[in-house]
Amino acid sequence: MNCQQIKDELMLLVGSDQLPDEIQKHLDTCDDCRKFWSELVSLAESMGTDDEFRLDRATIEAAVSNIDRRIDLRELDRVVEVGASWKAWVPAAAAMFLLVGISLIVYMVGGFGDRNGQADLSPKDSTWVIFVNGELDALDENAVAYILHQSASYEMLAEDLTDEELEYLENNFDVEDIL
Amino acid sequence: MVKIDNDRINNLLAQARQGDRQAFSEIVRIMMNPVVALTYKMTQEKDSALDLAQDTFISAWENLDSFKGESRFYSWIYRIAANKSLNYLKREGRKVGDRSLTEQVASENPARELEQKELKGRILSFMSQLPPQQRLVFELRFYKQLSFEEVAGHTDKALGTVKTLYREAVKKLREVALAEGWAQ
Ligand SMILES: [Zn+2]
Repeated sequence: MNCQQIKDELMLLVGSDQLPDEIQKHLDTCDDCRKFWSELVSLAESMGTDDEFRLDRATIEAAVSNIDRRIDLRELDRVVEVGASWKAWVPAAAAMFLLVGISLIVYMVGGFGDRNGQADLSPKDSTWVIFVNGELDALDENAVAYILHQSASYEMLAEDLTDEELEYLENNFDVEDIL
Repeated sequence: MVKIDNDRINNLLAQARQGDRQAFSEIVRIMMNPVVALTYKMTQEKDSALDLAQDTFISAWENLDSFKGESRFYSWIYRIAANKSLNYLKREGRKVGDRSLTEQVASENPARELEQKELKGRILSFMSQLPPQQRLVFELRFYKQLSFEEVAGHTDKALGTVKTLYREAVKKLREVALAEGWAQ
């Protein structure tokens, strides 16, 4: 191999611990390639490791529950899709949601657990409690999607949503996109 | 660099495939940091990185049946994370910066005695300006220590193409290093 070929190989070896014999032998006798390699070693040392991207435990746990909840939602979708033609009432559900909002959630917290005898596939309680307390920030798109899927079956309680809450929902969630 | 207990993962995986969600959550706990490291290096945005990592695990759960065990599980997860990151970058229309990396270095503070830590941060931000494919190949090979063959499999590219991308990435990073004056 000539120097250029050696350098081409060396670039591929960045991040490896061991050099093949043939290349090591060349480095032993060629100042230019040896210098090139030592630059690459410096480079590799400065690139850090994945360990520098550690999330703390709490963040990981939050992610674990979020993933868990989102999987719940998806499995719920499947249940609903099999059980009923929910798509037909989704547009109505969207409209309902914006009107009904908080009140609906209060109602749901009260008991959609065993609706129609289905298993309780509700998101984690904390989401609902936070929402009931009016901290809408804590509600993510998936929870909204979940509510949309639920809402058409509850024809009630249209008064309690304030203008502010309405505005918040419209600004922060793309209802059409969720659908 | 990546220390993942494969036996443990495989045990959990077997349970998860039976529908055991807790076993799957445990896999998420173990794999979250390596996955988020990948999505973070690809996007350089903490929030997006975390979102993409979560999307990755949800896709993994939904596609567990399609994991045939022909590759290592964590490398299968990286593949999903890589695709999600690339799609994200594509969606966001992210382009490589107009200026070359060395020009950027030259136009920034030329102070030579940078803290090692700061230097790493800067290299990572330079990395974000490598074209996405180069960045991904570098990430999978250098940080995740996958073989070139595995990287080729994960990116649906020929082995030669992957090697070229890696070389290109190293070449650019070396230019930056030299311009910074810390690679002798
Ligand atoms: Zn030489």
